[in-house]
Amino acid sequence: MQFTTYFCLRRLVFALVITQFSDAIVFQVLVADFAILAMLGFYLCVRPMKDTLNNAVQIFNEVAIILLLQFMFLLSEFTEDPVVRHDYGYIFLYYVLALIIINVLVLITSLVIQGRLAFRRYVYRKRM
Amino acid sequence: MSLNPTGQDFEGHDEASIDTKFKGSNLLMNVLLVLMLLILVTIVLALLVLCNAYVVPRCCSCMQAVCQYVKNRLMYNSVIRGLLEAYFLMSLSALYQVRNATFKGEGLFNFVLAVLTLLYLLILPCFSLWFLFRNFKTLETPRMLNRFGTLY
Repeated sequence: MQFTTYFCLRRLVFALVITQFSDAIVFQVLVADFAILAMLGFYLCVRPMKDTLNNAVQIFNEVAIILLLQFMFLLSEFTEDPVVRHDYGYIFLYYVLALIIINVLVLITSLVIQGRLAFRRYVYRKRM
Repeated sequence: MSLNPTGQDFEGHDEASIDTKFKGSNLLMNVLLVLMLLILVTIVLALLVLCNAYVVPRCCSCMQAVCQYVKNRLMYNSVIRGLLEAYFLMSLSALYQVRNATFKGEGLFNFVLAVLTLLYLLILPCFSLWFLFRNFKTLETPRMLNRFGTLY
């Protein structure tokens, strides 16, 4: 029930840190890290979604975001060699692409499951 | 926008002023876009209510089912989803505007708009929580799920 509230407040905190501490990347990543960990804890304890698949996807996405956050350091001046940074950028993009594909696949799977259930219900009603 | 080597465009504005101007109008554009969407949705909802009252009872059952489906989809899950999607963009724009407030002319207007947007951004999650607690007993009913299911 508190999902929407936490969801909005986390976004507000992100925006606040990005705009007010634009020069402090370490602080930004730390705040983002703690916010995501808090949300991950919330997902693990409360399981706010209605089925296991959706809960698993939420947890998977949060973990994926934590890993993506580490790229913020790798893509900044902490990595001195621009060629290495360029290569990291490609890894980042492949990773994001994989995440998008996984999410779309889960969405399609859940739609197929729902469609199958609806069809079975329809057939059952026809027989009755 | 093309700039000459001194960092000014052909109208004599420097990069900083262009940046501030762009970010200010960006906030305006975001708020206006959300307002336009809300107005559009309000018009569609008003049309649906009118149709539901006067047109749908005279239609066939098939048409009535389609209307009921559209009504369930629009009220109010789509609106809530839209508001949540725009939340981060609006937060960024509003906070950026508050940070770079100028308090002169258009800057003052943008600042007031940004503060109002921030108020709305703070009220929205609190209101949703209050609303859900208030209707706690009826949350699992199909009517509530169809209308406000996105919130929970």
